[in-house]
Amino acid sequence: MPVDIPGVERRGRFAADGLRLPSGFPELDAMLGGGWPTGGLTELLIEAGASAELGLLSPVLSHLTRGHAAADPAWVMLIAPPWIPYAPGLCWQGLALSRVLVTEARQPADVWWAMEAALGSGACAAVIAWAGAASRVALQRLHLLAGKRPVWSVLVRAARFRDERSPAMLRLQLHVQAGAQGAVRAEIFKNRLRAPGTVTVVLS
Amino acid sequence: MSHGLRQLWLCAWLPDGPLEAAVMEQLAGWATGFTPGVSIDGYQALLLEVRGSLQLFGGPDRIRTLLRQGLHARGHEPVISCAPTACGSLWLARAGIECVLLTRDELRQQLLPVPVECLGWPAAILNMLRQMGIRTLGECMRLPRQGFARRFGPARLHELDQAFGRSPELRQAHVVPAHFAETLELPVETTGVAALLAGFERLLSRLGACLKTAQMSTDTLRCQLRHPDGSDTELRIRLCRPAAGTAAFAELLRLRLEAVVLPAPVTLLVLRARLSAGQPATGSDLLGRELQADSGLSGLLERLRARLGRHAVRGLALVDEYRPERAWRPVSDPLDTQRRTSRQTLRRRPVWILPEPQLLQQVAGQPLHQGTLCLECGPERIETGWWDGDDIRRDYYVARNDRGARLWVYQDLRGVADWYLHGIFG
Repeated sequence: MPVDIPGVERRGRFAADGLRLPSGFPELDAMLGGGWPTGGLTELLIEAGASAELGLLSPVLSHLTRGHAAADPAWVMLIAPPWIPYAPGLCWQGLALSRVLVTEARQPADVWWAMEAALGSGACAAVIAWAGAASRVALQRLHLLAGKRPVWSVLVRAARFRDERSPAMLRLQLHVQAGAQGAVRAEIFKNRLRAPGTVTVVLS
Repeated sequence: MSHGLRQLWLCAWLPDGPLEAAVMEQLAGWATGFTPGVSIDGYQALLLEVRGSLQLFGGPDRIRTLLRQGLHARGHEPVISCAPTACGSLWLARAGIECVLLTRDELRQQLLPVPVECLGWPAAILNMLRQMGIRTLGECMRLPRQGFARRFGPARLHELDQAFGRSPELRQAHVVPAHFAETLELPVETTGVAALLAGFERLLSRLGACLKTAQMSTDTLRCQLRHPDGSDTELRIRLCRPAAGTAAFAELLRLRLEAVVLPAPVTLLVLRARLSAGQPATGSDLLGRELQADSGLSGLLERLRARLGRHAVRGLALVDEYRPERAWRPVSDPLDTQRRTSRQTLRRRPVWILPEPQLLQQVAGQPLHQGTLCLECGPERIETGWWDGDDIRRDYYVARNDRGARLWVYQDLRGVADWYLHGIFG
């Protein structure tokens, strides 16, 4: 009988325990093993000048904020977004605005603090933060906090942080395809539970 | 239950002289922890109607003990007596008789030997009584009622009747004020967060006691930090909903004190709160659901606001308006989910909008933004707002640049037909 040590994770444990959120893109779900993982940090790296992260995340956000037969509408927190989240656009993506919270944080330290507070409160089903350079301690703290509750915690950072070490359980980089309409290549280069890989999804 | 038990009064007589009104009010406020029926008599006695509190506290003796301990801790040595009438208990206490009387017969037996000096009547009346050879309340009661009323006034006769329980007695109950304000002088000038927080915690514990005894709650604290030059730094702390405890405030205050930059050392702390009646229900209902289901969320909002500022956290809502920059608004109270639904028809809109439209460079009439823009979709003509002087006439397009980013751009049709970037599709 294996012993559970707090803060030490066994390979395969998340696959059984962690709740998966279907991403809305079947190809991506197949690659992720059923959907976005909760109970751990997901790091999404984006290239400057071509942001596609909210389009990729919005099917899940829409699902969470609207609720369904098995779950009540849940709160979603956006921390330090790069521009103003445009309410009509979020509606177009299917989000229920009454469950969306936006937190502005000007200082980098405040972003980490706000994300810790949001993860620690357990009041939000999803916490998405746009952050810059991180200390390893800050990332580790977030990762441990995210592991305590079934929260979908996503950290959006610039692609230049790809080579930094990170405790996140899932790391992927988005490449916006210049030619094809709305096509985004998601390169999963770290996946604690499955093999890395690349998948192309078409955003609405 | 005998007739005499309809009311039961405890009188705490403070022999250390008439006290300041403020002190008496503080004591009365504290005493409301025993019963709501507390009144002050002549700045020297507290009268508590405890009939309804006997069950809770376990009898008049127990209340008497608690009252004595409390007053003792506040530096007073009271004489406490308990009787079915307020006047009766007051006169007994003035006479220095400590007893617990539950019936009017017992009260009568005890009141008869009480000297007339203990009635608190004017000196002229006491002189007349003394000249008539009347020294005790019993001798007073033997006088013919008609003659007594004529000589000393009907009010005095009525008072006697009230003391013996023959006529009813009304006393104005002390009302706990609807605001809290206390100050604390710091032993040394300081800017240290720990010292300031320790000071405020003392004030908060007083506020907590006040909320508990008055069964009230509060949602706003005003914390003033006074500097040596007399100026104040004020911190205002708001909760999403009224709270009966002060634990949440202490945590939020710590966040605020860590963030604030004090211009000078602090010598004095002032804590003010506006109190509202009632306390929020806690625990769970019959079906086992938590009565305050989103307490985690309101707590989170309070914490974020305490550190990042009042307007740092907001919700979003639609506004029925064609001008894109006005088609939404921030919501300062996002917990109120019963929001007006918008009749706005859904159109394809970007998820991000720029605070101000950004003027784009052009090459040969073609807009540029990190490469030439290829117009994919459009135009969508938006022409409105002529009635308030802020009218617009724009052709909106979905454009794509060389990097594959999809942008929401428009051409201003008024004037020189400049191109602007207004939003970004995520």
